[in-house]
Amino acid sequence: MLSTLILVYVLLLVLDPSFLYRSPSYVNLEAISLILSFMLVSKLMDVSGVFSRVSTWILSLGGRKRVILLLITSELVAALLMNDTALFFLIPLVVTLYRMTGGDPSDMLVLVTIGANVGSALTPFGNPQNIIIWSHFHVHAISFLRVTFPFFLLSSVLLIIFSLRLPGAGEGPARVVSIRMDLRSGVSAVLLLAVNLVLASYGYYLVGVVVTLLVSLLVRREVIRGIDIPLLAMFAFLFMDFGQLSHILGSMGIIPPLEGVTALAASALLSQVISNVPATITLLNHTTDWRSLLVGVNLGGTGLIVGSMANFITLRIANLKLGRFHRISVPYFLASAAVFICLAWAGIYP
Amino acid sequence: MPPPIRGPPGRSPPISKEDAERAIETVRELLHLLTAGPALVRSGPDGWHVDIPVMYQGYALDRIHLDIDKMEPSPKGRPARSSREVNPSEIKGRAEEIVSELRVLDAAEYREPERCWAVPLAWGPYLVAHVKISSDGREVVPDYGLTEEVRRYVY
Repeated sequence: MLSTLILVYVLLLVLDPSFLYRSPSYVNLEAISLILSFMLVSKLMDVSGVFSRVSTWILSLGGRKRVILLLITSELVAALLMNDTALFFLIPLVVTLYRMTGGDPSDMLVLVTIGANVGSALTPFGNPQNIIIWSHFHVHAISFLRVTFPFFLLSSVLLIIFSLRLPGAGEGPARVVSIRMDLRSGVSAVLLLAVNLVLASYGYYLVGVVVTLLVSLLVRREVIRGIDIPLLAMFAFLFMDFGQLSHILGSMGIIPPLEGVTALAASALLSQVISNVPATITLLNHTTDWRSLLVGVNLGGTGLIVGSMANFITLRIANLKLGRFHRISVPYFLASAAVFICLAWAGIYP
Repeated sequence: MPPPIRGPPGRSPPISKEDAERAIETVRELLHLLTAGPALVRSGPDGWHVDIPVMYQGYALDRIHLDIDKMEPSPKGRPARSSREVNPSEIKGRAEEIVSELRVLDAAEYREPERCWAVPLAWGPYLVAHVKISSDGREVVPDYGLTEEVRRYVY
């Protein structure tokens, strides 16, 4: 992925040599420092073993309530952790459940992935596109939640409707050995989450990074080793490449100023073609309607595999067939797109 | 003179023979849920090294050194080297087979700094990996550093 982005950068440079000097200005340092902070907080939360304990308890339940609870858990975990970190432990958990109780986990894996995408849309730090929109438009956290909560609620109802046709994961309870809990990491993660939210709302992003790094170093040193430098570099190149493409397309009149239902539909559809983070960066400077952009790019995270990075993670961890993924994900996207586009058309939401 | 014992006194919880037995039993219980993660392939001046991460619920517990010339594990502490490069996808099936052939040895060592038991896993005559279990013998202690390394292979 990173090498492809570097290649695109070089191609853009060949087309326009002045891009070399302009490209650093496209990088949203606020967003990248927030991604770094929340990446560390997610990892601290992950090593605390708290979510693993909750999931182990859910597995010990039987029947359909287990399926519903797993979906709700995937949403809530992704709202608190970044969605990719959440999937790294949710997907193996579902696979374990089906290995113990029998049945094919494919449909449940797709629903959990949709759940993680939907859940991550709730909070400003749940996924990279939210972080980018939050920092670019300097939105207050409460205003942000006012837009994302109805999206989260309606999408969750739709997800549960989709889960009703699922044959169910064996009926009996599954007892699994849980991961050791480390409350110190859990408490530190929650405190750091609050500190970062406050600091970010006052514009002190870099202070947030430093505090998060120091606390992580003191509490769990191995979390620092988990900083994914190539991933951060990938975000920097995403900003530069798609910032330039957005500039070129804008100057050619291909991307007009977008508002309301047009912004929502365009961002959802573009996410289906180039993934939701690049779509966010491409459309960021062509709209002032951050609400429609936010709903659109989160809507576009489901559907085709390319919609979000989280979809690829599921496919790779679980070796899921693309056809199986799309069999549920595409109808879900079409249904939710119909709901939200109608609401935007009627001027009800967002 | 022997070297001094490091660390504050009384930091580790009390342990008993029952805790060790419980730790071994816990590993037996989760053995059938262990899976092989993506092969970690590295090149060094002395050739190619391949490790298979042993995974439990998405967390890496330990790594097994793989001798790619024989396509079998190498004993713990002796990473195998090969002159030929290997494609991780070609060892995927074999890695799963190896993990399914692991057995639990009937003893545990205690690791004071990590406050956990290390229960050995064997493949054939070789001790190839450890599973770390909390001092009360009930919960798994993942190797988070290795887990991060494995997750990077997914991107």
